[in-house]
Amino acid sequence: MSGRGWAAALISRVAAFAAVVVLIGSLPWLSGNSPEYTILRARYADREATPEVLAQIRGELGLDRGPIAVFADWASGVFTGDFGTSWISGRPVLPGMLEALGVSLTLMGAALTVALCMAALLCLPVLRAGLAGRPSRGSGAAAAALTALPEFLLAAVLLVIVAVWLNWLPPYGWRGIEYAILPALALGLPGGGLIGRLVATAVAGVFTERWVHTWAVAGHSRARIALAVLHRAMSGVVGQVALVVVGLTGGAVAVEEVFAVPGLGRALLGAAASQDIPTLQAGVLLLLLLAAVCGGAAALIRRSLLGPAGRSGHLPVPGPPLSPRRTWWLVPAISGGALLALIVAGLMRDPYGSVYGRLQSPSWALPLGADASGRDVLARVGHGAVDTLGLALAVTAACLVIGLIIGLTGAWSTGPVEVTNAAPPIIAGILVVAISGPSAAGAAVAVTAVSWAPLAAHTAALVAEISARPYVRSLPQLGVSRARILVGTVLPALLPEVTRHALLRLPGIALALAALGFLGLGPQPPAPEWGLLLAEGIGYVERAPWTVLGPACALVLASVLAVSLSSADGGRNLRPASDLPAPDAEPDDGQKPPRVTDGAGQHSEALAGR
Amino acid sequence: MSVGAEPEATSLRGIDLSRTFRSRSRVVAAVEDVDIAVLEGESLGLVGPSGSGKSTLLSLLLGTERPDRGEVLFNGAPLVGRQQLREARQAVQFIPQDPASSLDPRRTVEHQLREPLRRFGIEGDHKSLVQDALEQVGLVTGYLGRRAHELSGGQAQRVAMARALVTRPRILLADEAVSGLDLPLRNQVLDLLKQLHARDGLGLLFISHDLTAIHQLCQRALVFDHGRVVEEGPTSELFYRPAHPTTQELVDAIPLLPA
Repeated sequence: MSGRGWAAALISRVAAFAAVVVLIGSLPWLSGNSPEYTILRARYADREATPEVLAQIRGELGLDRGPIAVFADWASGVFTGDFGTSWISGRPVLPGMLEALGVSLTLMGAALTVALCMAALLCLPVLRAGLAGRPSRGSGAAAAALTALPEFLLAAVLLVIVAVWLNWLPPYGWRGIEYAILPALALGLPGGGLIGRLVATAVAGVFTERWVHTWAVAGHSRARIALAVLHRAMSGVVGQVALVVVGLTGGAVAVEEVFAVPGLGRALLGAAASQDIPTLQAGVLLLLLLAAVCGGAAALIRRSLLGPAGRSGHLPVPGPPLSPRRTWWLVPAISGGALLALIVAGLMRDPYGSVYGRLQSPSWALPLGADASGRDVLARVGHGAVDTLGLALAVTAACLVIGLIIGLTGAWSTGPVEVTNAAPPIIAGILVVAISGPSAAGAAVAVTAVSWAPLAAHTAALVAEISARPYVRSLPQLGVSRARILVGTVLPALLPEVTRHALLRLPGIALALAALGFLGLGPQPPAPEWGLLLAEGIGYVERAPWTVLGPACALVLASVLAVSLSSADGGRNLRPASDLPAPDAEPDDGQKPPRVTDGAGQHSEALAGR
Repeated sequence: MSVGAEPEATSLRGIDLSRTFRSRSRVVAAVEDVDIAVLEGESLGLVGPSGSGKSTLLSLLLGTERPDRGEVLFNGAPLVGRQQLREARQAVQFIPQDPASSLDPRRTVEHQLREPLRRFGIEGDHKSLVQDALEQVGLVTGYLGRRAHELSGGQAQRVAMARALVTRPRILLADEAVSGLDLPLRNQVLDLLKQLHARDGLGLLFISHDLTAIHQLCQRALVFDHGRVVEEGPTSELFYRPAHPTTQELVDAIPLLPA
């Protein structure tokens, strides 16, 4: 990155950080009139809500002095290490929050270990296929299913099966290492699926670069080639991986809630529920700092991985995109068909009528059983598809557009991306609820506001990488302006990969919406929204697992469909290598036979012949 | 644009150019106090061992890299500002070192040749201009719809040349343009460049580590080492009476047929 790029990144970081600090500092004022009632109920339960009492409370909190004074009070306190006192308990906020942060960091460390093991397992087949000379991304069904597993559902299922039925591990609390295992699994598996998927895609792409073929011919060992391929692939995805790590904080809210782990996420949720704004402010600020540290570390790692090649324009050019497997349509067809059948069957039934027995078990007349109010689960899942998937699709499209636009600004996007990522959907949802109260629109806004960031980060990384390719660097000489290079050459080159990434996030976004519903921060009952269905069923998962099974299956099917479709996309606009027209014979000179076969074909021979 | 009226000969000059790179552990002066002039109608060679700073000098002349000191003059005016760069880029084209990777893998040959015509707003029938340029480099039919991975190394090199020639430049800079080619093809490309120079009066800066190619093509040459011009003169002079040790080494490295 040039000196100007570093300066831009620094300025953008400072500006974005300042904007968020101002937002956080103004929370008490932004949340309007509602806090007084909360505090009245919490502290002075014996008093009447007369205007005089409310005004007195406002005076105590300093809310009557306007936004600037409220922010100035808070900011000067923060600089001296005083984060204020809790509106509910009246005790200083900071010591408790630091303790909670320690617990959360331990949990995240354990979850990260789980995630990395999972990612390694998912990458292994791709690496082996590449070394055998058949670079392939795999259909990704397993990874898609893993990314789709909602942390809170996984948490609840693990709790019921491992802790309650099998009695292998403790179900609640935080008193030793054995208490961390289940939360770490619930938190780490989905993240591991996503990391594994990103790295596998990058690894498959690197295997189409010509140097891999050259190394194979030169007799380098498979282990050495594998290491070099991983090294090269990681430079593109290390930023993503950092984002996934930061994103763990959001999942941690639900997981900590289910397992009663006294971490930062649970503290935040409690603070939002009781409108304890000072606690909320301290927690969000700590999360921001954590994210800034992760982002900085990722940038350093990426720089050292790319080395000078990233700055001097000597990155290898990938071969033509891989042609899809002949059976690529199989996974999407099956999952799509099953989902469609589920939705169509459900749409023909009534989602609101309580005509069955409470928690009635499944039968031919009632294929997915009834919920706690005696409503048909199949009908609610079918009708919920329109709500959940429709909203998730709209949010995904919005995120793709925002991510591309912001990512194309290069270094300027650094700050907003890092800051936005520090606020996973649940945290954003908590902030939105603190400002405007829970609603479906609020949930969509909260999820959109934070979900564009990974796409912007990916776009920015690809812009840097593609701009360093020789064919892009030669364009200015042909009179192509910088803006036109960006839009006409760089954008089309990165669009398939970023769109793929956006589709990969569709289930995640559906889940973020669902998670907000689950935590009571999104659509309100009796809407048949999938997240709400899961939330309603989760209390009965032990007695009536079907109440959760229906919506969970629907979400997993939808995510497998989205991801397997996006895997096929890379080959959509490319003919298979064997269908390329034969090159014209070269009658005039004795040059080498034209290299028409694709790069993949060439290494297949070299690598397989080893 | 600048083709209309007949102005004086196009020229590209570097005056007292220096460019230094800093890496973590050391400071490398890639180009140091170099004066160079590429004129329409002349053919200049730039020879030097690998890593001597030739490609950096080229980037400075093309305006893609800014010098730390000194300046680049196009037709006597400093090469800064959009308008000046645009005019210079139309009149000064360049053939890259690695043609295969300098072509966009996603676009057809035709699209990539039309691009500069559109960008520089050149009038006329673009299709026939593209055809002419391809014919000039010996690619007759069936190449318009191909993409980079459907071309051999030699074909890609010639497409890159055609792309440089399609805007009818007055000066051509070639960076190791023949070093990746086999002998018959190398001679073919050298002949083509020689013909462009002799027939159309195209100015040439031919950068190479291969003194034989320079001798075949250029009247004068600079010998470049460690970022400095160490010797300068008519090519035959350098070839037969090398004065500087670097030149000596380069001449000694030419393989000879046994007598």
